[in-house]
Amino acid sequence: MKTLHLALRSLRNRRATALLTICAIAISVALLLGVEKMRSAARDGFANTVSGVDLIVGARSGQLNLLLYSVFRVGDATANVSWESYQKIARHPDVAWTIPISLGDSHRGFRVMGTNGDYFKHYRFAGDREIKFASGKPFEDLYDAVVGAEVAKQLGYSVGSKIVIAHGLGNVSFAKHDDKPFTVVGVLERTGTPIDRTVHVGLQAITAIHVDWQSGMQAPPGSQIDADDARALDLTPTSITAFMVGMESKVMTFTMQRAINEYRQEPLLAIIPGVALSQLWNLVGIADTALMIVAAFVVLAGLLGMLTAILTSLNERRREMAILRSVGARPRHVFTLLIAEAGMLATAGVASGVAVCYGLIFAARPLLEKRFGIFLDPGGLTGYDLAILGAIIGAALLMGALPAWRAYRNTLSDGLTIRV
Amino acid sequence: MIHYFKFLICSGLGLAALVSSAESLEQHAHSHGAVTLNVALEGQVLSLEIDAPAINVLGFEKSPRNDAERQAVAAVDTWLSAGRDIAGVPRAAECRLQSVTYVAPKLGSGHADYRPRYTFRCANPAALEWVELWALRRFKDVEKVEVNVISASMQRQDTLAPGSLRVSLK
Repeated sequence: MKTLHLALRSLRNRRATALLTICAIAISVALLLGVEKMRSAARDGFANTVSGVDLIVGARSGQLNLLLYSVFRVGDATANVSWESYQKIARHPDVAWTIPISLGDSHRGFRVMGTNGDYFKHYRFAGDREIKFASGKPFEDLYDAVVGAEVAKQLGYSVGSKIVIAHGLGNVSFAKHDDKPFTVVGVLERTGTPIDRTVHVGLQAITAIHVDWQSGMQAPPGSQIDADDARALDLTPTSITAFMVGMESKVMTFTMQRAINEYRQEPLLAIIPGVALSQLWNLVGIADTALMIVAAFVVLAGLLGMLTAILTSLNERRREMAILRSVGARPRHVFTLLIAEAGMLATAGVASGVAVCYGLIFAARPLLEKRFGIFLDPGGLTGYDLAILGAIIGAALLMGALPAWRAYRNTLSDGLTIRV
Repeated sequence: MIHYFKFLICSGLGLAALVSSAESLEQHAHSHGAVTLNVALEGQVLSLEIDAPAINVLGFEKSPRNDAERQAVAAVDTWLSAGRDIAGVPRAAECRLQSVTYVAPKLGSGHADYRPRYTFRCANPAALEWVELWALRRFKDVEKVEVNVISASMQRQDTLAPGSLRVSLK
């Protein structure tokens, strides 16, 4: 205890160097921990976004592409699925339910998704959680919309608000479906998934707002069809972007997946969301590992910086050591003093590194949510994190043994008269 | 202690269906050396589906040219349609082979794949901690085994380590 106290006083005497050393260690620890936290948080975030969906079916492209645009609203579809194919698969006796998805429009930067009531009934996230309404109810009328929690919060919407959907994506769109405004009839509870950033409308509504559009342009005035006239039309879509499938029995999933992938009438792709995610992690895993290695080396550099600082201070501190010796400190006291110093520097560095890391994650979170719709929950320090941090402090103590040994040698030979 | 046991074949039930293939698999991705195992578990039903290129099962992928090759094809048909020595699970799971879906592939000039499917009923599915794909011991030159696992709580893809037969279901 006395040694620790002494080490602390000695460090305070050299606070500038000590603070810089702590900073160097803190930054390197924040980096290492940040990489690790982001990795696990991103995985959990993705894994929690969709559950209970056995298959996702879209136009034939890539597994990851389909997963990303249908569930995470990242990227776009290359082609659509015809309504006939969708109906045929949806009516298959092995299929319990389906959720059609129609994407492509937006509302002030938020994606608009056309779907039907089954979405609120069957979609699950984070294990077995259902989509719940904070207020209102699912859409019933053609021009009803249900907004996610984040949409409602950012744009200040509540049940009864009128909204206009823009054609295509993007924050500022000149092509607006302003002739057919929607009424918000429901606001969803926060889910921590891209649902929060989505405006949901009925599939027929997507057809209705495009009914008088041709090649990305609204028909000229005169041949436009107004909102009420559109109600009278057959609004069954000709195609949808993708659909989710729940099987009667999970055992049939692979068989159904194969049947869809070999479907002759239309090139379709069926993916199992969890399997596609595993593939994504395999792909990203290499980059993850590379980042971790880089971060580990940065930590090593930080610790070497500490070692350098302590070693260079040794010469200046010969007198300090000599005084300690003169008041009765044994060489082993000097040894533990320097080890304690290294340990304290490293512990302070690790502690501030953890603080910096959490600070940065919380600061970056809204941005990531906004840009990518990914919700990062860093959680507490896991056993693995603690093991890493413990290893860093252990390495610091081990490194501290080097200057400690040198100081020990010096105190043996120096005595009170120092020959420099 | 974990015991292995061989799956019992309920003879005379006619569950093993051996139908000649009329299906065309032209759109199926086919790469030599790559075997896929699909494992699905729901309630007491465990379904295993193997997808292996004929070259890795037989050692060749054309129509058999001599008696030895014809015998090899016949032996594989018997083996895969019987379901014996295909896979193992912990004994405590008390699994019984319930049905085999096996369609002998059409060996011709193009690619061919074996895709047998085995359904087991397990009295104690909670003990199903792993599945071992014993069939791999008889396959030839397999370079990669991709395993897709789905159950009520999980969807996952793993790659079996070289030389390993065991797939964790936990």
